[in-house]
Amino acid sequence: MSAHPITLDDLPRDGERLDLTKVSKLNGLFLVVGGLGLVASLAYLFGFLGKDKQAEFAYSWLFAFFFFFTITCGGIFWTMLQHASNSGWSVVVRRLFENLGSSIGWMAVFVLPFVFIPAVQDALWEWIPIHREAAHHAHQEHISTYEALHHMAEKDHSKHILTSKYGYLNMSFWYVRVVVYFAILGALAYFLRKWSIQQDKDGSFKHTFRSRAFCCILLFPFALAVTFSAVDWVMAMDYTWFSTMWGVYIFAGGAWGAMAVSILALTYVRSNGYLHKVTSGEHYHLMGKLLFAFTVFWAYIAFSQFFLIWYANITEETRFYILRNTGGWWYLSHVLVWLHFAVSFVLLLSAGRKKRTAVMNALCFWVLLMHVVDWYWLIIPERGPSLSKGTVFWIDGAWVGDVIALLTMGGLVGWAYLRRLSKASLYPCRDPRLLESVTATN
Amino acid sequence: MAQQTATASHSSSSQPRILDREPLVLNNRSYSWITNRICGIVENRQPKLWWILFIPSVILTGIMAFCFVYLISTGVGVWGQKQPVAWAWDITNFVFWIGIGHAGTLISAILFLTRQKWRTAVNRASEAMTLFAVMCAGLFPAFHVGRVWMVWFLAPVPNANAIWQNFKSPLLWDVFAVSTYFTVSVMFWFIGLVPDLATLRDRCKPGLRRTLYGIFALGWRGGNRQWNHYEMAYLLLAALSTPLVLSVHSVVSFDFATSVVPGWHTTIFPPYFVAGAIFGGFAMVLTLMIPARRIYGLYDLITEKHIDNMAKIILLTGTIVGYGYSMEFFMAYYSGNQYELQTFQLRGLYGPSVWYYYCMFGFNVFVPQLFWFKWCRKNLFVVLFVCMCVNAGMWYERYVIIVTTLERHFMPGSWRVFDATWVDNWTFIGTFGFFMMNFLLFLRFLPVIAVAEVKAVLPEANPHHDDHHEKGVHELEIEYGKVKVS
Repeated sequence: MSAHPITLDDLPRDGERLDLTKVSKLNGLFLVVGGLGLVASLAYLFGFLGKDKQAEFAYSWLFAFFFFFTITCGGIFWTMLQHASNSGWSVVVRRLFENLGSSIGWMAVFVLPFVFIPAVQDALWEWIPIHREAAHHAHQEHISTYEALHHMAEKDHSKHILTSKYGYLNMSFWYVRVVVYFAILGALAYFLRKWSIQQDKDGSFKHTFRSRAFCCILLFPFALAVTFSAVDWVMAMDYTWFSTMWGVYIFAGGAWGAMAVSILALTYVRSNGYLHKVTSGEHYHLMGKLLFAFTVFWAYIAFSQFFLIWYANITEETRFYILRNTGGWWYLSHVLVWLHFAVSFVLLLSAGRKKRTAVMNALCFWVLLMHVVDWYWLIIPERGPSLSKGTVFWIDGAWVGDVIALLTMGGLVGWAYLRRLSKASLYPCRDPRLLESVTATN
Repeated sequence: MAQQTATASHSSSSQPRILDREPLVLNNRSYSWITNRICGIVENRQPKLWWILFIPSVILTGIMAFCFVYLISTGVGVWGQKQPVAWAWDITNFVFWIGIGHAGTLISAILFLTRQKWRTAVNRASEAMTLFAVMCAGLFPAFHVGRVWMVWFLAPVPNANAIWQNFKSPLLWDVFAVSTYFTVSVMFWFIGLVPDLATLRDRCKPGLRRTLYGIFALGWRGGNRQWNHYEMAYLLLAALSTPLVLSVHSVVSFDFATSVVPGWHTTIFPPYFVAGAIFGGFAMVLTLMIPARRIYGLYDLITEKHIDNMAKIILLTGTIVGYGYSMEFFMAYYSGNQYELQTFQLRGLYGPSVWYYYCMFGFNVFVPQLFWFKWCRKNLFVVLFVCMCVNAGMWYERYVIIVTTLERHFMPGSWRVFDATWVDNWTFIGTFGFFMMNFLLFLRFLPVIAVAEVKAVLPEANPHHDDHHEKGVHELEIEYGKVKVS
């Protein structure tokens, strides 16, 4: 590739457009799986299959939602990083990330059960029914919710901690935060894709400069949105537990998964005859290096969090790991150490493997599988103890809902992703760094 | 053909289509100019300013040595720490200097692996700075043990007293982490120096200098096979050094985070310490390189673009540090743990050393925000001002974490505010002299910029630079206004 004498004039002026008829099989499959799954999911979510199933499925929905939400955030992150760092090599693959990040619109739909179905909220976040009860007392006794909560805590000391976090963990602020997260992430995804596509038409540099400034300014709000959404939706499942590393851990996993999805998407569009002029093994190698870097980064963050909590051995913190090291979850914890990190690390180490499309493809499937395991391990262990009041770790049969939720969102997000890819050129065809990207070497 | 296509596309659009990169070396400097300019620093007499800086540095180093001798002869009590503040300036200074020693290896290794070619202008000096900073850092825990002649007990060497090290202690891991980091950094720095030492050797007249440069150049002749081995060794050392950049400060953070002390035990400490170290390290690189650039006239090699890039890294890492501060404060509140919350309230709201917290936050989070503005990144006085603030701010950060936490521990009856003694003050000031003395000696005897590496990023180093086909198209594109330089 280094000796490639390619110039901009060798490339199609308007880039390459994905023809949906060429990918109709996969897209049809996505739609059918997503559509059928959606029907089943709605039946679960609205309690048509019973209250127990509804509560169990709330966890399934959160697991699937959080998996796709963090990958979407990863897509936004990689787009932002490429703009903010004025990166050259990545232009030809940036559209894949832009489109992945644009799945945030679908995520805003999938979040609705958490916002509008009280039974789902009560099943997932134990603090919410307590607050609801406090609000009920407050209404009857004409006092504030905080005061009512305080009265409840005097009778049951386990609730006392909720009074001290009332400023953050309260229903109104929780709803406001959901809106703010989607506003920040949505603005990023929408404008970055919009300006990029506008540049395809007019070739103006202003879109490059504007995107760079926009990404730099919103980098910190983006970090806060990812962190606090992870606190609200996953950490707060156990309102007593806390870890300052939490946001970094979630971010590391999401960015890792998003890179794997984009490499798979690149392979898929290439297998349909696209992007051959502009991408090569060098781009796989570059993306593979970032995948490798995030394999190590995730392990570093995961280890540090575990190690510091294990070493200090403070009761307030150890519950999280004790639960995940008990019963069958102990094996899953080991899967994370050996298969999520060690195997991925060894397989991604070789430069030769990173340049080979077929190998990278297999590795990315592996990475995604491990990412599913990680998020499953993060969310589902809370289900048994929460719903059974601490009597069981594992609810038999609930895994069916987990699979349905994952397939539903996967199908619909995948279907929408392919459709989005077909709406504009598969790469930013008039980006001023296009030639740099096409001729990139390692 | 190429000419035809370029012309054809020109007719369909009059807009520039390529945003070119700024050159890494300005004014089309040749290989020989680069060699002469950098080797000239070593070969010519040093400017007066060098002596003006060197003599006080030596004096300060002497004061530092005196302070250590006084400490050994009298006892660690000459420092200000008393219960409950058993760790004070010594550990603060240790973490401060170790942090500064991070930018060198980050620039050398991580920026090398990520193909950031601009690193070549500053990597040599940053690596040297790293080594001197780690040397300064090592002094403090070594003397803090009290009986410095027993410091070898830290190494796991079976000995007559049947002492075996406590492998469960993060303090011992620190010994391994720092010594490994120092060793690998020295090797990396030295390997990078070899071709340039050979250049210096070849330019010297026969004599002691030539012999010494010759010995350290390891018989380098610049043959293909040597370059091949060199490149491989450099790559492998870069790959080895990269995890070390993360591990050293992570292990340093474990000194605190593995404890159960409120304000110390927090899971975000490892990445937050690493980001802070890179932040402080880059500030120190700029603090040293901006004057060096002026004194030795290195404007074409260390360009405004280099300074701009480093300023942006400072802004980014400063923001990450700000994220760390915010998370600590938020989780202290969110945890509902009254001890944790009170620690942060005492640190930042109404404790006796609250102004240290304001200095930390102001210097590390607010002042670097100036780098959002291009004119601030271009104005070297502003850049130096921000870097000085960051240098100070990072010291305050360590002081806040270590000293202000211990001043208000679990037993209010023994609360006590720390007072530094004159020995504390002069030992710390003395390490700056030691650091500067070493750096000035480095400027005097070794090439401050990696000559061979800078040459490798010039356009003519590209094997296809003279490729008629490619060159023709590019020149046509410039001519037709399709290329804009930014």
